[in-house]
Amino acid sequence: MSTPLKTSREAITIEHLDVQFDDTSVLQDVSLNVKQGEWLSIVGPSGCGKSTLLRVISRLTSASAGRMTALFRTPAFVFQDPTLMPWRTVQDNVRLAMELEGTPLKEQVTATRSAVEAVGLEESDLDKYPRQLSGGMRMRVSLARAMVTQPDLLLLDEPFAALDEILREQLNQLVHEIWRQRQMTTLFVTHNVTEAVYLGGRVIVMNSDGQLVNDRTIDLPNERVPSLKTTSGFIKQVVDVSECLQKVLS
Amino acid sequence: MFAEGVVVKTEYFGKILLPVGFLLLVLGIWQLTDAILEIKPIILPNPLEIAKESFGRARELLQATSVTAMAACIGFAISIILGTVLALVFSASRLARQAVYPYMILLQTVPIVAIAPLVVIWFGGGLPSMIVIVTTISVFPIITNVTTGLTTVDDGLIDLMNLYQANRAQVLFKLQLPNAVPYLLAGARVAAGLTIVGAIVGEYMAGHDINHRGLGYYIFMSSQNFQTEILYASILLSTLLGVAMVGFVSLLGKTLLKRWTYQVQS
Repeated sequence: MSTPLKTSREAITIEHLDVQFDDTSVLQDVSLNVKQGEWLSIVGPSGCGKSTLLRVISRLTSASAGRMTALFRTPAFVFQDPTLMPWRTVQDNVRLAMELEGTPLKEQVTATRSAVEAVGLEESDLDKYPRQLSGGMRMRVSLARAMVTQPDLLLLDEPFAALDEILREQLNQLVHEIWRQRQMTTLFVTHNVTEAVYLGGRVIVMNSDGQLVNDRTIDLPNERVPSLKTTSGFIKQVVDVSECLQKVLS
Repeated sequence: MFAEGVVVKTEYFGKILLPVGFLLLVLGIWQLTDAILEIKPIILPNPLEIAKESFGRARELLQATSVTAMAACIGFAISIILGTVLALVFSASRLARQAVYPYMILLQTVPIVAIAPLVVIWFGGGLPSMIVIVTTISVFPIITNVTTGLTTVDDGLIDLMNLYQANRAQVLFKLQLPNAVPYLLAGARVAAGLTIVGAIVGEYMAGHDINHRGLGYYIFMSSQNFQTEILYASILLSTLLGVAMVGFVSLLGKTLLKRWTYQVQS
């Protein structure tokens, strides 16, 4: 298994970013650097602007002030909901981005099969419609759709929050494995501190005013296995981030 | 296996046998009441008299049904096309939607019998006016439903299309139009029922030519001549035509919309 490529090159540089919706300030003076190939976990209370930060980075939302430089060719976004088109089959959903780009059909088919296989779905699932899939399978399709274009930036906005604990852990592990193999810059929004520390190489904490209040590097081996969660090193780092989050909430 | 068989039998009983049984009961009571009270056929003919008269003139009544069905189908097809095109305009242009859409809603409330004479003045008598009247009565549910379908798309899917930098045509053909299909079918179901009303009103108002006498003509003439059996038969055929139209669109919708639902099949 290859080690993620962590160059000194910044994939995303954000300086003094503000986002306002009408008169409400959602993000305030956020400055952040994310290196290429890095996994950055973002935690904070509900409504603190975590998702907005991802939307600004993916250019789905415009900033009101500040500067952002993001070096990526192909972004991929996994939303909280699977956001699948119910009238399209699994394979048609997965290859949507390539279809819009005008990629030759043969390439689309090959890439789709590979992406579907990578997320643990079977070939027999390719012609199924979303209504025929369970919640977990739909999320896998959403993940395959994100992965099919070989993105260099992956944005995960609480992608598995609605799933049960066991499935959620399975999918977290799966995404982390894909990240280790493909080395794309990954930003992961979550409410779960344990999840943030377990998956991230770095964790940032935001407060309810939309400010970045803590930024720490996670000192854990690159390969994340479930047994890691019982180690004192892991627990200490979870406690540290939790305490920081508690301060933000109090 | 046993449970499945029981469910199928219960469904068959509930959906087919029960309504058919009720109809036969009503017809039986009708026939009996007519015989006991000796009601004049001009006021209320009994079911056997209606059936006898209808079979005697089956050919011309079926021909009339086909004329009415033709006007209804042509008008319905035009409604679908015209309604979808107008909905596309309203969904693409906020200006057009804000300026014209309220009047479209308002026009729906104008009674068709009030508009029909105008249509006859503009388009003359016969089939063209009938088709215009059918279109006029059935186009509004299509416009309003398809406009809703084109404009109320899941925000997440719009984000996805923006993320992939889809152009306007791609957003329209790959997202908005497929999203509008269930709305179109719901509108078509309402419109299908209205087409027969439009066709009958059209025949009443726009008249007919000698080769194209529809059910509206038979309803009008039989009521004028007190041919109550033919009047009842024409009403029955109009109703069956309406049921067939709605049934066809519902079946089509049920088949097509299987894809559009997220409901997990067990």
